[in-house]
Amino acid sequence: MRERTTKNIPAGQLLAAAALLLIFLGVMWEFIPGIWLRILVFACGLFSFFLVLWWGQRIQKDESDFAGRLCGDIDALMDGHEIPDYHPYEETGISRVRGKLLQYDDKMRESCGRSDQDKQTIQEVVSHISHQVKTPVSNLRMFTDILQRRELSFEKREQFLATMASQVDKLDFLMQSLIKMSRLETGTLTLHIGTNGLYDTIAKAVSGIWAKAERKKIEMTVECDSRIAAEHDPRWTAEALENILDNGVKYTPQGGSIHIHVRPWQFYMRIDISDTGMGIEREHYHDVFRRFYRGQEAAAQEGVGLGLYLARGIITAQKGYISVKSSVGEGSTFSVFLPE
Amino acid sequence: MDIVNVDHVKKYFETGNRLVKAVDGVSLLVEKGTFTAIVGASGSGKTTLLNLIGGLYRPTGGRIIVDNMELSSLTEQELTIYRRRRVGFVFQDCSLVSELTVRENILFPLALDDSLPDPVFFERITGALRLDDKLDRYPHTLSAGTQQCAAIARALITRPSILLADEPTGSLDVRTSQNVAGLLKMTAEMFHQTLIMITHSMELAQLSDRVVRLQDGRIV
Repeated sequence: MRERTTKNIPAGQLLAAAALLLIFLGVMWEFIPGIWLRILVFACGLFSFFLVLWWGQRIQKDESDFAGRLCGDIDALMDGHEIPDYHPYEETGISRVRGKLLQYDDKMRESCGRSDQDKQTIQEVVSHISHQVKTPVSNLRMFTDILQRRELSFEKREQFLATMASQVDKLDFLMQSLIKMSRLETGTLTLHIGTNGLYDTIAKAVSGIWAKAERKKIEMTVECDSRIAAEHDPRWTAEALENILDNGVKYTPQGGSIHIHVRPWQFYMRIDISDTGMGIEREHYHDVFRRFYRGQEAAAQEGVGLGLYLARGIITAQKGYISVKSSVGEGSTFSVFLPE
Repeated sequence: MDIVNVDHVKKYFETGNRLVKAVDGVSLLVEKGTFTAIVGASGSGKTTLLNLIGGLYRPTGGRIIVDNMELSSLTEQELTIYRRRRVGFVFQDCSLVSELTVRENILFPLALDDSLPDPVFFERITGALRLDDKLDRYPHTLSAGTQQCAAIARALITRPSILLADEPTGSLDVRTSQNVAGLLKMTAEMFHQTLIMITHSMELAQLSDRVVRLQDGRIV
């Protein structure tokens, strides 16, 4: 603990106090009878004066010690040391302040740690995506090689070109996913949140998935009052909803259905997206929102396991959340909650 | 970084000549800033575990370390201070003081610790929990969901190290439960709190980063 000298009471204050005391005693002297009584009053007055003087000095010393200890604690934290003699659960002012100082220090260290974590996360993401990209790139190389070297029939050529086009689409999708994911992970996603009608947002999401649903003869219905609005970014929310719908279409068999129902839900607007797909086991409710997660049943379907992860990230960034309820073999309902 | 370390903790209660093993050798690490849901049937030991972490019970065996401090090394007075400064509780019955306004209820924990509120932080919490236009009202004039939001704000105002919620939506209807759970999750994330919530609802549990299942006092 650093020792500091006590601050001297300014001379002016001392003189003023002494003068007041003498005036008081002088006035009292006129009214008090008897010499002994006068001496007693004088002694009491003098005692009180020195008591106040001592008390003032004591308070100043305590303040100075307190400030000194805090300065020592801050020095220790700046040097990366622990605060010496720290007892977090004492009923003292210094313990309370030290506790807050440590909380602040923790928060600052956490912020620094977060940027290291962000770098690691991006590295992992890039590594995974590059692994995913290898296959379509290899396929493209192989088909290009074949097309360059061999004489092929027109039909074969068309078939190979169509396959190459789908590989390019996959590459494009992966690149777009990488960009979105990195923005989400590093918190640089730019959202323009305002009170916007949900009907248009849902319409945009549905229009993006309509063709796929049509091909599988999946019936899509929407129940949403055109007056319903919520605090959201229409563009990104439509993307999140489209990801959920895409999931629904992917895992719903031919002839199935997807129903979207929007309703007010006290503090939120609730969007239920219900499908008649294969369903999700309860113990995997959590897993389906994890990055790159694909259940065993999903292995046969195309995809990289990012859609629901991105959807949750987008909705969470808007202070909303997503939950799921499902029955294996019957279907799932994804509920998206957006602030009203 | 792990903020809560529950290390082979046991809590046994003696009732007459019976020994009830409420928590029987539970080990659990909770990472700082995460949301952990503890689920299990009635009597599985969820509330006992939460109360052990909150310093309301002393373990029969094992250690509980919260924020680098082993709780069993604290005296009763130190435990009281630990609960006041480091733990935010949200109970099933929101336990608001009926004679105090919402604002006074929220600031009550600071008053107990002789601390002054940071007005900006207060505004952020009450804004996030939709309480800004209800601060001068009394609890009995509010809906159950709004009362619970006030209880959440009260738990957050001291910037605790951990937020413990024991069935915070247990006495609410389905709609309000989801709303309150959503707001609890959102505010915990917003203020980088570590949240441990007990619930019997898997639907609410899935809002968490991690689900821990208890059965007969043990993690399964």
